[in-house]
Amino acid sequence: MSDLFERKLHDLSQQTFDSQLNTINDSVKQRLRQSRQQAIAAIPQHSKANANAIVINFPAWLSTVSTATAFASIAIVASLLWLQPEFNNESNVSPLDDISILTSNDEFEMYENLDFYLWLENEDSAG
Amino acid sequence: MNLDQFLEKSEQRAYQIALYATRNSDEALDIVQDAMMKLAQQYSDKPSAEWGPLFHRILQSKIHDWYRRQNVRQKWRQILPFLSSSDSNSNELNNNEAINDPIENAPELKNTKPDDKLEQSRAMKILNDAVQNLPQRQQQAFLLRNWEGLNVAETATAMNCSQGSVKTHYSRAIHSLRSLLEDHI
Repeated sequence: MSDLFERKLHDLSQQTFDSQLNTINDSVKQRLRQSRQQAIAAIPQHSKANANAIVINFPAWLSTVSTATAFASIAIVASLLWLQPEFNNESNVSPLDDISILTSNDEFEMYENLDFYLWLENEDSAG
Repeated sequence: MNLDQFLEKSEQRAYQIALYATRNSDEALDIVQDAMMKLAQQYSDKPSAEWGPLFHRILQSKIHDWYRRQNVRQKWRQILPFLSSSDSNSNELNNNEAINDPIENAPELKNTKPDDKLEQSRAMKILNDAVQNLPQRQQQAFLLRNWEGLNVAETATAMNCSQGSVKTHYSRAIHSLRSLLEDHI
C-alpha cells in the first residue's frame, strides 16, 4: 500500500466485498454445497486418502532429525540393557521377615535421631 | 484441513469473484463448480498448502475462458443479429439480482454515526459499482490483491501472467477507482 488512499481503499474493499458474502441467498449456497459434494465424489480413488486426511506438513529436515533421534534412543536403551548389572530376582528376605522389620520399634528410634547419628559419624571420621 | 473443508471455506468467495466477472449468478456458479471439480480431480493429492494458489489459478482460467466465449458470442451476434434476441434474454445482466447493494449488508456500519454511515455507505456503493465495471484483468487483479490478500507474485501465478502485468493491471484499477472515490474516503 503506497499511500493513504490505497490503505483506505483496502479497508473499504474488505468491508464492501465481505458484505457481499452476506447477500448470497440460500439457493446459491445449496448449489455451491452440491457442487462441492460432486467435486469431492469425483476425487480419483488413489488420491482419496490424501484429500480426506488432515495433513500436517512438517518440514523435511524434521523427519531426518526425528529418525536420527529414534535411532539414538534405541542405541541408548540397548546399551543400558546390555551393560546393566545382573539383577538377582531371588531375595533372601522372606515376606515374614519384612513384617518383623516393619513392626520393630528400634528402627524408628534410629530414624528419629538420624541427625545425631550423622553428626556422630562425621565426628568419628574427623577424629 | 481436508479438501472438503478447504472448498467449503473458499466456495462463497470464489462465487463472489466469479460473480463480479460474469455478473450472472448461473454463470458464476458454473465457473465455481468447474473449478472445484478440476481441483478435486487433478490436484487433490497435492499438499493442502498448495490448494489455495491452485484453486485461484483454475478459477481465473475458467473466468478467462468464459470471457473468451462471451467475446466469440458477441461477434456472432453482431454478424447474425437474429441470434441475439433469444440468447440475450437468458444471459441478460440483472444487477439487482446478481450483485446486491453492499450497504444493506454491511455489519460494520451498524455502530457508526449517521453522517459517517451515509458517507461510507455511499463509498461502498461507488466501489461496488466501479469494480463491476472495471476491465476483466484489472478487476481480477484488484480483487485478488485487495480482497484475497495475494501478493504480486501470487496474483501473477493465479492470473497466469507476469508480475509486471499484474502491477500494470492493479495500478490502472487503482487509478480508475481513485478518480471515483477520492472525495468519498
